[in-house]
Amino acid sequence: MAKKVEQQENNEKAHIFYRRDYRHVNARPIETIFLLFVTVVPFIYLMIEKYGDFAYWLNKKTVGLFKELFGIEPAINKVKFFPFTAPISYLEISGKTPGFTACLIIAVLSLFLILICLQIFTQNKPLMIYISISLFITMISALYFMFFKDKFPYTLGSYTYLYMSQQFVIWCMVAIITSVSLAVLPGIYGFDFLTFIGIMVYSILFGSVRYIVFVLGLNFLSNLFMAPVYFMFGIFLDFLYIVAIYAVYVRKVSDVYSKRKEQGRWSWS
Amino acid sequence: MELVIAIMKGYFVVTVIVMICYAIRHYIFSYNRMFYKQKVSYRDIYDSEYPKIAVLIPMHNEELVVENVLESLLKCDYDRDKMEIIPINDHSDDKTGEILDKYSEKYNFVKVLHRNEPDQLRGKPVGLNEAMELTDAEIIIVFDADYRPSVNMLKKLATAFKDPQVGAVMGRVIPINANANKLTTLLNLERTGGYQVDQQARYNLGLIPQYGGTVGGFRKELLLENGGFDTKILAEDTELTYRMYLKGYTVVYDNSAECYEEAPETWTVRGKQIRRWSRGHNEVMFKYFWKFLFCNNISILQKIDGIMLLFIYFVPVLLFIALFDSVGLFFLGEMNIVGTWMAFIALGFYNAWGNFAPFYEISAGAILDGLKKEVYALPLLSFSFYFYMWYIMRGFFDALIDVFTSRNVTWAKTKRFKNKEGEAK
Amino acid sequence: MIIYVILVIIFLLMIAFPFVLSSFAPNSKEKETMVVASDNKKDPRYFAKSFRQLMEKALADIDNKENSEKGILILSKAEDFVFSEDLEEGYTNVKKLVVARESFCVNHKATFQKEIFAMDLAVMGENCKLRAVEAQKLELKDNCKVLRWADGVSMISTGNGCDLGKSATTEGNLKIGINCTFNKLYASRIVVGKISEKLSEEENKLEDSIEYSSIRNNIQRNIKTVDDKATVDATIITKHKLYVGENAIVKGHIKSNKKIVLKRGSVVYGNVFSEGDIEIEAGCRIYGDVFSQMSVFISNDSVIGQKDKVKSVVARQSLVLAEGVVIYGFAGCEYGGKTTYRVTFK
Repeated sequence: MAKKVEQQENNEKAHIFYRRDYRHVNARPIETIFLLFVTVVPFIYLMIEKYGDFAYWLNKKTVGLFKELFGIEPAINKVKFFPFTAPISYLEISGKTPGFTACLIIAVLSLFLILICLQIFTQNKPLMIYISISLFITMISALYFMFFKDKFPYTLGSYTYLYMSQQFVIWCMVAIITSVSLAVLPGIYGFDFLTFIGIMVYSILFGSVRYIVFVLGLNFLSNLFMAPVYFMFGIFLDFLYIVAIYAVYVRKVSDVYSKRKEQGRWSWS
Repeated sequence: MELVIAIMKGYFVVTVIVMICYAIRHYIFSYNRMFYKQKVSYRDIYDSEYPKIAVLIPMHNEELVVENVLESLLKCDYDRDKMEIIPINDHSDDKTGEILDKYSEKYNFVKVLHRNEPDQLRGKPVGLNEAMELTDAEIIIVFDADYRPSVNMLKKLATAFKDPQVGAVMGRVIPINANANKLTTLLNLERTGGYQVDQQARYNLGLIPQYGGTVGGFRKELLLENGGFDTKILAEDTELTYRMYLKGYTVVYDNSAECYEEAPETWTVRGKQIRRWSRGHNEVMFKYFWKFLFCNNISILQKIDGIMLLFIYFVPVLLFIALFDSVGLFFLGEMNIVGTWMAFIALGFYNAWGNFAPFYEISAGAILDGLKKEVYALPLLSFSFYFYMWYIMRGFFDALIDVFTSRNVTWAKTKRFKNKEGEAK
Repeated sequence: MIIYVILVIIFLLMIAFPFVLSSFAPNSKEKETMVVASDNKKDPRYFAKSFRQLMEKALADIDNKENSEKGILILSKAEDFVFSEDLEEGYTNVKKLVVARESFCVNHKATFQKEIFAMDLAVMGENCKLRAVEAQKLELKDNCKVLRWADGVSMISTGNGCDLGKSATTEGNLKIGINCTFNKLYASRIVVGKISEKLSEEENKLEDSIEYSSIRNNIQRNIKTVDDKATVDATIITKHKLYVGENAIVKGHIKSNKKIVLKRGSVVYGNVFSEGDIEIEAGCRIYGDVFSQMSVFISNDSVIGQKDKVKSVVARQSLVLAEGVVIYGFAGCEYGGKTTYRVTFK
């Protein structure tokens, strides 16, 4: 053991470590493929097997809240979405259509807020631009409901269907993206797997909570807000937390790989 | 109406495919940079003979920083007999000219080019063209006024030209004010991804590393053969990259040639910068796309990479249109492009890969650079995406107008935030 | 209702998490992570010169009795040291830094775990192992092993079978034996083993030098061979493997995206750059630099560079130098270089 330590010390002394410009890490293809298999494959399998049940359970809970808040009990329908999965549940509910005055107020308010965002709050332009685009879509939706109310192609039930089917794809995509994104970084055994689990748990919890909040919220407000909610508070929000948890992992890897005693992990030629 | 809907759906699918291509590209670069042997620049070459160089520094109202860059250059270990420093005083109305004249009087290899005539065309490309005519140097090195080159920077850059195929060399810039605020932290992360991973990987793979217009150099004769920089193009650096490859030369990226730069500290300034870059880059795209596509000097992979690089400031325009295209499809009840399930896969890809792609590239760069707490700012890049989309789109339309009207471009200098001593204002 | 409110709060908290996380990014009061080393000079003898500077400064303080009694020198930190004349008889393993104020000769096998600083000649006997050595003149006998670097201000001479660590540098001449291994060598003239009589005679005639300005810059593209005894009055840039025939002369530079083979006796006025291997057969003469992103093999009696100028041979992978090779300047590689009696090309 002492000889091994001495040898390691000699190896360290023999190295003159280069800086950040050309260092790299040795590829670990077997571990990477193993990680992909251990994470993505079981999760996709679980999704295929259990998503139908989960969707039904989630809708049941939502119906319970509908009853409590609005005194209505929408029916739960099922439809085959993917050929190899169980049918996906969604709610049968028309939702609320706004009146002309409400649409007008919302349209004008949206325009006003866009101007405020772009002209006054210039310190945080990216957030303001994002909010402005959301408000712009809201304004378009309000105008649509003002003049083409009867042609709106979706009910609130359609939205639940859209959401549930899309969420299936999102969760599968998140699993794949997370694994693939972890594979491109040097790994810390076990911690990359934990990161994957963390992201998926967060994703499932977030997706479920968002569903209930948005469906009940839309029923309270109106179908006017379906478009902005779908486009600007949908998948985009998923990216925020995926990247956040990913950043925690990156920080950990960077910490480990910056330590003097871990310099052997780097390749210097 | 059905035709319109079909076009809208088709456009959406095409955008998704484009985003997937870019995502794959970024992934290959990240993987290559992280795990494979790196192609080193020519930094290990020691030679007692260096070519004659001229260091050009375009300036407009740079009294706050001009002494910093000149003092840094005077400390460089390049043979002064083989060196000229040519600051280009472009219509400054502060003390820039006075300060430069003092240096010119003291050092015979500092030759100032004053451009003060009211009817002269302004701008970096014009200034550089005029300065190049004043020197017999073989190699031109360009620095921005706020840069502070290290002692061995000039030798590092000049060494690359020992290779006869090298037409230009590009170093790496690192923000000196990375911790000033969230914006500069994000810019530091973007630079890390862009230089440490993207540029280096393109160099490793023998693709098209981009000459960035500063902390870099090029062979003077190659440019003067065709009349110098095109003064109607804002992005003279991108233009030079493509010109070099069309002539059968290469651009070398030297990841070890690091230099500080000052990153913009407000979003307004950053927006103007991005809009300018977009305009210039798209001008280059309009001019060089077909020439590049059919050039025989370039390999297939270089063509693919070069064309993807040309379109890099066009893709956000596609995305912006795609966003409203999908809003339109939504209100038309057409969110089922090719059967419902395909729509959502496409949507998933569109958002997933397109938005997420830079994150793993930046993360790989962060680990290589040893960045730690900085990576916590990564989620904020999601919002930057919308910001860039907006300003890049405006720059694209500026470029379109340039093409149709052949108007002259005017140079807008990025606002400085540090004073003479490097303190924040 | 309460459940819905709780769910909304959970939703908002989950959205807030990334923003809360981003608040932990560094602020303006914290030091910048990425420091650009602005004062680095490009110097192959950098380690040696830094060490010498530290030692000379520390030794100037040696009259400070308290320190010298304790046998401590203050370098970048306090270091135990011993004067060479105070070394115990028959020493085999020295754990302290050794300072030799006069010539220092080691005639037996010994290990030096710290640096050796010799103000005059240092001679390391056969099979010695040392961490690093800085001397005025340095001689390493057969099979010596240097862990880090070796520097002799005016000359270095090595026997056969030595391992020269990361770098062996001198301002004077460096004579390196056969079957030695190295990473970087720097000298005004590097000679491998014995140079042949023919080359020795010609060396005196090697006053000729090629001026930088006389190297041809007009370009010939994409050729694959240069015939034997042909003269190319241009710089060659090719995407093919390039074979330069025997006794051919290329009056410009050479660059290939693949392998370059310089046949016996060929001459190149400029630099030779390649993305692939470079094979230089016997008796070649290259006046400029040689650079390969892969390996370089130089056969007997080839000469790289010019007298009184510094040129380089750099290989990203391996560098093999046969007996009689002369390099004026620098030789470096990443994977390890070696010297040998002969180089065999496939």
